[in-house]
Amino acid sequence: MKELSFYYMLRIRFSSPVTNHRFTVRCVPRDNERQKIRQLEISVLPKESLSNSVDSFGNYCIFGHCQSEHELFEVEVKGTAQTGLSDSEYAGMDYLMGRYRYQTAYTRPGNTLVDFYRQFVFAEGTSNLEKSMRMMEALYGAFHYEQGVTGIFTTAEEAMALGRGVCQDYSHILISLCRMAGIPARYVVGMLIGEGASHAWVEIYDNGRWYALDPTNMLVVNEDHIKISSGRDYDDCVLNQGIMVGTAQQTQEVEVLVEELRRG
Amino acid sequence: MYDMDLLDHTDTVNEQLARYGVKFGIYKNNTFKEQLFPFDAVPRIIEKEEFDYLERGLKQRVNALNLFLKDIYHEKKIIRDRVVPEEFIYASSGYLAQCEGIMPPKGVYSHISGIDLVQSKDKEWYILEDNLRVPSGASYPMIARHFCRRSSPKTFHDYKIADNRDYATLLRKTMDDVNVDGLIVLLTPGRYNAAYFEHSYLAEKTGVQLVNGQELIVENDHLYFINYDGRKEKVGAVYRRISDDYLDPMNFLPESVIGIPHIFDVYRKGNVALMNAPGNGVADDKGIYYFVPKMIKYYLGEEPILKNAPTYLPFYEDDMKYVLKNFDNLVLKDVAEAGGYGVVFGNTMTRQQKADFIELLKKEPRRFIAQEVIDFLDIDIMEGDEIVPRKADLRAFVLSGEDTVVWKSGLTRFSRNPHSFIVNSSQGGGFKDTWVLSR
Repeated sequence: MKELSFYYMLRIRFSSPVTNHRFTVRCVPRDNERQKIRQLEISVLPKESLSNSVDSFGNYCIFGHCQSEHELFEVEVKGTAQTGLSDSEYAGMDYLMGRYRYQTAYTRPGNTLVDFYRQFVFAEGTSNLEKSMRMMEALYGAFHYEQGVTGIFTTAEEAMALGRGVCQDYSHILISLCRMAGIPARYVVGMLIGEGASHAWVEIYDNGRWYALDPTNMLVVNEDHIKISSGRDYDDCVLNQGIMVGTAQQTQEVEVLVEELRRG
Repeated sequence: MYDMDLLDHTDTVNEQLARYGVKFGIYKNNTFKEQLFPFDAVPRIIEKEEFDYLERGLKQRVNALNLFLKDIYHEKKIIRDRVVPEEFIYASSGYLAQCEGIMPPKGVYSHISGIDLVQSKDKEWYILEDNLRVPSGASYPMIARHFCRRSSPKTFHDYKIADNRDYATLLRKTMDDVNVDGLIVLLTPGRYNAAYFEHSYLAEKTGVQLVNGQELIVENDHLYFINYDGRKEKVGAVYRRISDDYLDPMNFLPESVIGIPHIFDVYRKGNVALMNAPGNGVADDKGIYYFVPKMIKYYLGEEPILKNAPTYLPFYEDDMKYVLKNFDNLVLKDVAEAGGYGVVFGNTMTRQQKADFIELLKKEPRRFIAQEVIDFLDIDIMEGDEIVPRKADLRAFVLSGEDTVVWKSGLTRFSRNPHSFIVNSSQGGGFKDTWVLSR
């Protein structure tokens, strides 16, 4: 177990004032079996009409509307997290996992991924977790971390064909492989010690529980990770969505800081 | 029968319909054209006993479909018990994961169901498809009946016909039943929508506000209608005539400009009823159609009263064998398509087309269903002064609020082309009034 402090900041500047701005942000970590969140502070600017809800994937959403002119939109979330409280999270019965078992637009394999998947032959009785870890290892060996070559719309198939990418691509590819193997898998967004931005990893279903794998770092998720949201793919976990009226250029800054307070 | 006084007034009725703008918009080759929806005055007549039977069957079917939707988005018992394979749920474009765990007001998903039936030559009725998203068409027989009564009062004196002018009352009752303490509105995408006439007519007849997306706004946890003078009024029920995809750019297609940002979030909180509920497409998918009789047994413990057309799922190996063997006698339907598109008849294909199609079928067996071609009972229409037989179907309207009721009428659509089986208005067909005899 560890105790971490975290700080997440999203700032959007508009080159000229915008109005009628509607937003949904999903950047607030919640309690689960692996982590407990304490001293949570959330601030949203400007605050005019604000509300919150929990979506169908269990993610905490802040949604709102800002009618008046503004040139700055800012969300800050900070607090502390006790992490590593469990090695997994409760998921439920297998028949309830269907929505995580089928490919989505981001994860649907093409020839490259289908070919890559052919190397895996699993002996009878191999657990979902073992299978997923083997696929993660193979992926780590075949794929190279490089920023700036892929974007948020890049699919697993496109990234695999390119052979390079970032955490989003690693995660989508691993999800695609797991689903090809019939293993329910979901996309996770969160924060990681030492990363200045948000991070993405994967949870896989094994015998009623979710286990977390970080394919970018080829490791089983441990006490250095704080989970924010999960879903079928990137789309379900978008940190920030907005619609506004105006002709402004926008520049977005994200700052993430996770530090260790104490080791338990 | 054809000395009916009404038939001498067909032109009058059609003139009235044109004057009142009873039109149907059609997109063809990317251009929008508004056409009159041709009305044929020869009514389809359904005897009282026969309609009583249809009514029982339709209520049963819609009740089961509503239970199915609640189950799929919550407990999923029907998947657990292997009555419906999960592929048919999660690979369906109508399934919306965003709806998981949401309970609509009063637990009703399909408030307005348009169930399409056909009658075969041996007088047997078959369900052709269920429409649980935004079924349209009720306004056409409503207004046609109005003009028919006016043009030929004598006809309605001679025949004992169930009055169908109560549709608005039934619909309003359904809206009132699920309304979460607020204004009721009918949300239209606007006048370029194919069914805009219907939107305006139903709003007027039910006495609810006709609105577009710009007139609705979410603030905090509620939906409001903004009046012409800027006053805000809380909305409790939205009869929305726009599809799920375009309903809310923050939750579905971000490029939608006709939707209302965050309407889905306040719906999730139970603060507004959306009619019909988002996510209903999972239950009216052509693949799911196959399972509806099984659903009726599963949820209600009853034998289905109304039959499906004999249907095969190439997804199942035995059915695939049957389909390949009897290909020429079957009609094949792409489960993702609607409105009469994506329908092919085995016996009209060339050898090459057939080979290509079979290859596709083997590659994507879940994508298609195959059905026996039903020998339709032709019904009479007037072509000039002549009575000629044409293919027709019947869309029955079933309304579910606190109770489920069947409207004693329906939209009878016919194909104007003597060789066509496709009656959809989006393919240029015409319509008739449907008389249900009251004794």
